[in-house]
Amino acid sequence: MTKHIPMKHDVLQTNKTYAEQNRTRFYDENTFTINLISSPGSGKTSVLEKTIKNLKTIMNIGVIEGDVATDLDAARIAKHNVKAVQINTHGACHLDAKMVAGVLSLFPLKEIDLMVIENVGNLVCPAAFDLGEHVNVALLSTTEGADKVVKYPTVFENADVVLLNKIDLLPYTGFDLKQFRDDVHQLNPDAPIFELSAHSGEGIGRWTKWLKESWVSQTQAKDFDWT
Amino acid sequence: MHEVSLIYEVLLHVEQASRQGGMNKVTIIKLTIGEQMMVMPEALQFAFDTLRKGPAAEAELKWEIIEGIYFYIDYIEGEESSD
Ligand SMILES: Nc1nc2c(ncn2[C@@H]2O[C@H](COP(=O)(O)OP(=O)(O)O)[C@@H](O)[C@H]2O)c(=O)[nH]1
Ligand SMILES: [Mg+2]
Repeated sequence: MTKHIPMKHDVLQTNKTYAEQNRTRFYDENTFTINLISSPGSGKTSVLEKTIKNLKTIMNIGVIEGDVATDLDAARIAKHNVKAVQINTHGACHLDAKMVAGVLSLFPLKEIDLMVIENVGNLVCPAAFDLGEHVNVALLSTTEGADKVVKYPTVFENADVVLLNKIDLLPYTGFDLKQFRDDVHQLNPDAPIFELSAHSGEGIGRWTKWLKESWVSQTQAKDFDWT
Repeated sequence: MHEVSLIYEVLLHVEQASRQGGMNKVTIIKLTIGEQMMVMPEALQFAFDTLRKGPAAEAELKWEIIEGIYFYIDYIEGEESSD
């Protein structure tokens, strides 16, 4: 006899549960966490290195590096005397909350003010997996073309802040800045945009100032949380 | 590419539900997928064809696309165990 079993089962629930646990941990330990998403080669690690240089003196920073293979990026970050842990996803195109949960014990979280999670280079898959972060950062570079915002809208819609890297190359790439700004505003009117270059350092200060202020307001919000 | 991890989870839950529901052969698995999940139907079918096993080994995968970030297993259909 044919049988029908209604399930209404949320397949993302496992990830959501781990993400909530991570978020609680970050909250309890006062660790402000960002999830950095872009396609491969946009400059996530380069921007991160510049960010570390700028903020290292005022914040304790930890980094989780996600890549399909190798620990090259963690090695790049470790050179800046920052604790970096590499996760290899062995083929998976994104980090999930369980993978992140698995490495948190390797950090002295109590001492870490800012945790940066560099996701696997990909503009599609990471968007669907909450890691428990406070802030989603979407990064695009001027060599990719401004149309990638509308071609990969989910990442830009969900971002709390959008970075445009490699503005030193603007004269050569024909990147349409106006289209980029308009499309980001259209998809996500609240997200601030920072245009910067990890190579020249231009714009890095404005971005790190925003990051520092977000961290401060997060910490203060917690101090005033009476519940 | 995240289709593989999603299908893996689907198969785990389908196997569990079919066992609990006394179904020895699953014929249909129906999913509801949010458009913003950016799931590729071909990749989903491919992942399913690669990973299918157990009571769902011969099931047909069906899905409906809706707005948003969702990935639900709606229902399963199949043959009831005779014992
Ligand atoms: N011209 C230029 N090149 C950059 C900039 N940022 C990164 N790159 C280069 O882009 C390549 C990829 O950078 P990487 O940080 O590894 O990108 P990731 O894969 O997103 O982590 C490297 O060769 C970097 O030197 C930039 O602002 N300007
Ligand atoms: Mg990198």
